[in-house]
Amino acid sequence: MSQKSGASGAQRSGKGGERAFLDPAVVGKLQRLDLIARLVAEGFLTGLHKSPYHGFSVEFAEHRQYMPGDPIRFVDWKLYAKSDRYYIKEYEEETNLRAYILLDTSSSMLFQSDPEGLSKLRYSVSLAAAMAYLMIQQQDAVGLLTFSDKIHKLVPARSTGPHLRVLFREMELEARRSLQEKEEEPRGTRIGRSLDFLADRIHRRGLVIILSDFWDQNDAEVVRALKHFRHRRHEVVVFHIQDPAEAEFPYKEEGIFVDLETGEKLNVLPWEAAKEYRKRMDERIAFYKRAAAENNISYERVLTRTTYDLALLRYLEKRQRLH
Amino acid sequence: MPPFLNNAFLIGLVAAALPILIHLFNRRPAQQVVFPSIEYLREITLKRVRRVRLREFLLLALRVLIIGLFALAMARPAIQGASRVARGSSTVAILLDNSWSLNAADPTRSGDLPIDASSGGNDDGTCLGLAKQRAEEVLDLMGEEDKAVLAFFGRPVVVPFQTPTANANLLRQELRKAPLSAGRADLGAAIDQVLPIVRAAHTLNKEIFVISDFQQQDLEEWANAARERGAVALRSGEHRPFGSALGAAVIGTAWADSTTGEGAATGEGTRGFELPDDIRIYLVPVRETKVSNVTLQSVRYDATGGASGHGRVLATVVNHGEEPVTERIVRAVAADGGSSSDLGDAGLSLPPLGQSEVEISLASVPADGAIEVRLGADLCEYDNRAYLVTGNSGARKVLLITGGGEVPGSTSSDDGLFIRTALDPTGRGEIFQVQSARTEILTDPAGWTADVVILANVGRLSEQAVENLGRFRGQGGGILITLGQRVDPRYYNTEVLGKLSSISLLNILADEGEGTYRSFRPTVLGHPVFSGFQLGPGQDLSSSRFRKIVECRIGSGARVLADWSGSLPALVEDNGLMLFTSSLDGDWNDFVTSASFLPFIHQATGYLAHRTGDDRGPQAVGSPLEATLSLESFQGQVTCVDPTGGNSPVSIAPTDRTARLRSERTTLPGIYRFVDGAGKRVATFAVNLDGKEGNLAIASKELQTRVFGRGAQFLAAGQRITRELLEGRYGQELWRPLLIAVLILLVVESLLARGKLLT
Repeated sequence: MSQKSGASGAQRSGKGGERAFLDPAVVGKLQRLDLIARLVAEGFLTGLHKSPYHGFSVEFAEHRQYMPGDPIRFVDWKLYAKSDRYYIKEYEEETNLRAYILLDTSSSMLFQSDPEGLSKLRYSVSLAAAMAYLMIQQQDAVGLLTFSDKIHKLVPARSTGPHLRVLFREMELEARRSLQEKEEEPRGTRIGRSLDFLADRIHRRGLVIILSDFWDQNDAEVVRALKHFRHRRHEVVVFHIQDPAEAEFPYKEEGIFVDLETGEKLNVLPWEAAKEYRKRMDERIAFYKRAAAENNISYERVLTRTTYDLALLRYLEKRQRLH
Repeated sequence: MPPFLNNAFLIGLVAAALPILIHLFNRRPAQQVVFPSIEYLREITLKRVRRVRLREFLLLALRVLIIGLFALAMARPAIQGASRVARGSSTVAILLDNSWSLNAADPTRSGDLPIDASSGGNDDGTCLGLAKQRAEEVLDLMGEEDKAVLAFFGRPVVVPFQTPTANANLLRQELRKAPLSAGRADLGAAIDQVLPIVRAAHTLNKEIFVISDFQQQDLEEWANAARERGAVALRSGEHRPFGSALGAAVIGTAWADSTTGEGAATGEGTRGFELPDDIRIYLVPVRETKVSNVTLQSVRYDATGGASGHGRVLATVVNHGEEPVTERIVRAVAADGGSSSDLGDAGLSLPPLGQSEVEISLASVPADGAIEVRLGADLCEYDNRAYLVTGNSGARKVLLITGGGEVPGSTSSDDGLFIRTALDPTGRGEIFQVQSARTEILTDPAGWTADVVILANVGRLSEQAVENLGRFRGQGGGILITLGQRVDPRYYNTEVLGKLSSISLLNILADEGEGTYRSFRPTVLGHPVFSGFQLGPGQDLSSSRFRKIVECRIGSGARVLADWSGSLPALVEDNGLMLFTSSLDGDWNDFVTSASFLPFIHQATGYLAHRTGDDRGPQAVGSPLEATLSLESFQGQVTCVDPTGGNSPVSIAPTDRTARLRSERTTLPGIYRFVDGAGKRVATFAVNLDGKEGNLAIASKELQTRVFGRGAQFLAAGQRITRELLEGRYGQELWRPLLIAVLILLVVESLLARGKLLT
């Protein structure tokens, strides 16, 4: 099934091998996060009609080889005259964007309905890694905050190449967690507190990307915290990560449902609960969408079977708005 | 608990457990499903699951209820009682007594004399007509859902339909054409046939109407039969139908042995007919007053008497009335098929409840010997005629041979005394005409005629005598040999048994000492010699003590009918010869003084006598007629001509030189003739009624209650039975409301299952 969906993903892109890596089913087979990040990012970039790498630094640092999509105006024609090759002038780092990726690592993010697919956490990590790769590639500073019902790790934003490896390592540590490995202690979700924690610590205006399933007890608190970022003039991108089963509730047989965050068990008759569940889920999504629209926050509901380009595009749009 | 008209469907109640079983069978442990958060599910489930559980429980209960109620509806429960306005369906069995006592005049029509039913007349004016009228009243009450079955219980019992029918007209036709029976009433056999039919009926009411004259002697016999049945049941632990119990009772009363008859007193007070509680029984009498009646009980011919040398007829007449009978004429006429002519008559006077034998000297004897004896008319005409055939009294001729040598140390003065007394106690030769003789008579075959020759402790026989005996047996005669002091086994082996049979005698075994003896134990219980004895396997025929017997060995042609205890042959049969290996003179045992001796010697002699001659003596209605004739005496197919001139086939079973002819069962009294293919009359029979039926005394209410039980409802003779009957049939079947309830529950179940209710 994964092969089928991978193939269909590749077909959808219509751009050959690189675009196939935008399909989570394909990415799920890869282990190395740096590889995943690069493949996803490159695949994404291949599909763009123009390069995102321009206009964000003034002091020349080095040349780099021309890449398809680079504006012609950055081509060093003198060097071309000497070497008969296209080079682009690169400049000293002078980042004007600081981005923070907030990664929800609560136990509910480990949920994975399709054994061949990705858990929400792995999907989020892959997406976050790709975004970090892209940011570092264009000299943006990237930071990482992992949280659940508490703050687990805060990596301050930097734009250097080695920093990317630091980010990858932290992300990989989270990505290795799975349902099969028993958690020492189930992690709950308290998004509001984590957002407040970060909002109080970053003063310079930047981009905040939140990847979470938003299984928070208090949705109003989450919205309040999002507003906190907006109040500090940060641009906020929210990726509401959901497993298809979580969104659609396809269960048919009676079962004892175990809450991944609390361990609580509940006898559920799916045929009785499904309709009401979907209704409530739709209401929650609508609530977040409305709240996001009201606060000029970019909100995207992303299912773990969704190709990465959609989410990356959303990030790119937001970034361009910052410039 | 209401009665169920279709009990078998109650087993369907088990099916009500099916939904529960399916529920339990399909119940699997719920799988654990990990889920990101059950936050929503908790809120939804908490209120829903409770409702779903309730709905599931209700569905299960509804399904159980639906199946259960459906099974109940099929079982057709019903409630009975006067408080119910509706009338339940009924199955009615009408048991109509058409025994010949019903030929008595209808007491409601004073002055009329009955019409002779035997001459083909109708039964208007007789009790039978009245009985049919009462039966029609019952049929008139039949509703659309009612069914009825008829039974006429004058022997032979007739049940026209084996299943209840709702066609009242058909039943009326059967009722109206039912003839008067020439037999006695046999209610037990009728109930045996009808009760299973009524029990199997699926109606609310089940009723049996017994329409009869309830003669006292009939009910006494039925009560005795019930008592006997109780005793039989106590002994054997098994149920016997009424009919067989009746037969057993009759036999048991007559021949009860001192040791085996102990059960006779144990059934005192036993109810006659034990009917199920759900069957009501109505007793409908056709008359309630006793009718005086004089019955021609029996007739016989004595060739030696009479003034004119043509013999005489001796008629036994019984007055069953409480008034004396005077100046009644008994007349003998020739019964030659129409040209009746007086043969003689005699006057008769009888005291109340008296009996007398009248002698009619015959002026002549009809060519075929068939004579009809008539008694003056009274209220019951049917028993005023009797028939006989001269030339054969009907008694079997027995030649009892004794002697043949000295008896060393014998204690008995007459060897054949016990046998002769048992076979012919009155000396009038009514059943067996016994001729006692010494062995010498056997040497001349022209000097004797017999059906059976009994050699009772005979010592020696001449060679000629043995030869004649062999010839006699070859012509169908029977030989019974009993042993004793005179018998020398070695002589018998060479001179008698060796020539007549494959049996040989061995040693004389004497059981000396106190308390040492053998007992007589039948082994072939179904043999005619033992018919009538209520014996089980391994039971002794009597408690008699046999102290001396003769051991014997039997050949291939012989078979052992009874053993001595110790498995030595006691009674052996070999082609018309029967050997009793002890004595019947009281020397070697006390068998001759036991109660079993008389029926035993009668049965054994009767069995051997049937090998020859015919049964032309007066016989009772209801039995087949039999005759053994030489093969030369008839040609072609033989038919039986009955008193009405009707023909019926006669079966012929040929043997060496003779053939056994047997008719169907007789149904009427009168003269019957066997006529061969050439039109020649080869045998003539007189068939008479059972005179007991002539006693028209009515049973008391107490006796009727004893026979039919306290639940029986007595109706008065002149009372119409409409009102009582309809009140008894009040009741209602519940299957309709139950089915409606099932349908309603089905709708509720359907709505509930589709989630239209309790959502």
